[in-house]
Amino acid sequence: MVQRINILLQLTAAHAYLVIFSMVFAIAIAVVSGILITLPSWPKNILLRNILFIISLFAGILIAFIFYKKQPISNKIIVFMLYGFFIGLVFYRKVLRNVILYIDSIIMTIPSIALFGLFIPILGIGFFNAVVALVLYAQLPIIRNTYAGITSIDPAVTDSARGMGMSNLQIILKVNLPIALPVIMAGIRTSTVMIAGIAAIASYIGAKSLGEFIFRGISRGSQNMILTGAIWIGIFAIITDFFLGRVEKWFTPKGLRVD
Amino acid sequence: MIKLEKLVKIYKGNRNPAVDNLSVEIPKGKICILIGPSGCGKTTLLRMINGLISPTGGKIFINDDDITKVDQVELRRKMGYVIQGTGLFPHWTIAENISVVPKLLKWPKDKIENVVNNMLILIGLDPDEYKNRYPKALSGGQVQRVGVARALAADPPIMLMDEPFGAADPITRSKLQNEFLYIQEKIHKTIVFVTHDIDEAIKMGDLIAILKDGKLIQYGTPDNILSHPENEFVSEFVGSDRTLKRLGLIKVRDVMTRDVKIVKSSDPINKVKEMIKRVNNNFLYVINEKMEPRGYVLEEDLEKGKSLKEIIRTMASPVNPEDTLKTALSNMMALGVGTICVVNNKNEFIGEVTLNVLTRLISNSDQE
Repeated sequence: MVQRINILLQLTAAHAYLVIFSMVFAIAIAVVSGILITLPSWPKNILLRNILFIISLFAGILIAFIFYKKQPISNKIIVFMLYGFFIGLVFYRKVLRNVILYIDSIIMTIPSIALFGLFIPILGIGFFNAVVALVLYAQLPIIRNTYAGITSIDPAVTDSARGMGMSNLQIILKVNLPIALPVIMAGIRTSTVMIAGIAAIASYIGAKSLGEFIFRGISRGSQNMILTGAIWIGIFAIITDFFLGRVEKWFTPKGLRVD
Repeated sequence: MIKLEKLVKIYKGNRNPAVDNLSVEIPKGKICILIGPSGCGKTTLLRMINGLISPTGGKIFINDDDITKVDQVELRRKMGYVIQGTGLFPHWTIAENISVVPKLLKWPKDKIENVVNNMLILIGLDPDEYKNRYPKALSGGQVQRVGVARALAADPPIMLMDEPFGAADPITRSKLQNEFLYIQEKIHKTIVFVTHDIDEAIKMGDLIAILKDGKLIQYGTPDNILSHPENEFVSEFVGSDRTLKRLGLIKVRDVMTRDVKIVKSSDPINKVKEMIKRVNNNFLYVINEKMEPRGYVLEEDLEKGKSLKEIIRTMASPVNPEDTLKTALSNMMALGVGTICVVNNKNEFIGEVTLNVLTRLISNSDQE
């Protein structure tokens, strides 16, 4: 009995670790790209923008040459050109916005188990494969909400902020982010709860998580084991949601709270 | 002083310029109103002055400094900026909202606190009660006031206001205008004020610039624009009642006759009869011992009564020298008389204004 509880606690800890680890990356990436796609294109000069785009494209190839000198580089070049392409897109915010939102909604439609499988040839099996897939999954709700939260701010607010002499960075950090924070937090909450569920499937590709109970239970034909896993994952998700609900409330600035 | 020199702004993809070869000079300490129908480029012009929009051609000078050659962010911190709907930051308290620019300028804490209190007192809100409130807990009029206070907080020499009172209802708006004029009398900022309301323009402006399709049609004092509209567009824009509007601009003290013969209520009738013949007029004002006007007597009534008290007639309620001719005219009309007396703060008789003077004044300058 004690041993079983011990296993349960260990797996819960591993599950929580997987979720938190993925979410930290997901939040960092998604919030930054969410803010990035709300900004106007930079630099304003179109010619300069095109030049920068081409430079970043070739920078990708250059990096490929530097890092993979001794290996065959034919397929890596394509990968790095892709990197360059996305970095270059930073200069075309409108295109970037459409590309990011489009790609993210495509990823959302890929079944989780297929996405895990997709990364096995590149990343092998285990923890990191799971993290990459989970981070990709967690992106969309956060990016969407960051984008929506910032674009729905009353234009008079940002206009007066700029008119009073706030720099672009100050407007983002002091005005846009705090006002959009409740909406961003709602996105983080949605995707965390979603990830808490999908992380169970990650045990199928060798990442330790509560899914192990279910998969082992299925292979051994033990209903008790399956139920333990399923109910415990459910409880885990509910607790996470409750906790993040509190955080969301705590993060909402006083002046924006609806009493 | 703000100087705009041959300013041009053409928006991308537009053929017609939003601002077309416009030159204006706004003297220090004056309120300059930019007015015109919507789409005339008045807001574009305002936003170019603090660098939110960069001009396609021409130059903007502030105290002889070309604004394209100074740091835009620094430039904006030296200009108060008030817009319609004010754009108060909803996540900050009133105190935090007012202290935005002082904080950007890195003022010491106690100085900022002082400024917040002074600003709240200036706009007539109790600091202790309102300091820690959030914008959503204020009424529309209060929000507008805080918007003005926020722009004034760092004591910028220049204020840019884009329809700052546009969202308020007429009663609140006129109250805000009066308060603002009162504040301006103390602070003497150079103000560029955008509006589409000609009455607001006449009331608030020291100078009015009328724009149409990005071109400056006429630039001058309100009186000048009302009395000598440059063309049909201007006269249509200021309204067919522009002559009446002018009355609202001229103060009683500028036209009143100070040297008026008066009689005291205790004077005997005979003395009054003599005086009335001498002044070549058919009536005289009557005052009491304290110099307060009591009414007037008509020549024809003098035979009817034995003392002045019996034949005295009620006069139109007196005006102050600071009142406008519009008030004077309105008071005259109320009683159907052609004259009104002027009193000072102590209610002492100091002169009169007659309908003849008013008509002569208005019609003369109209024909010039």
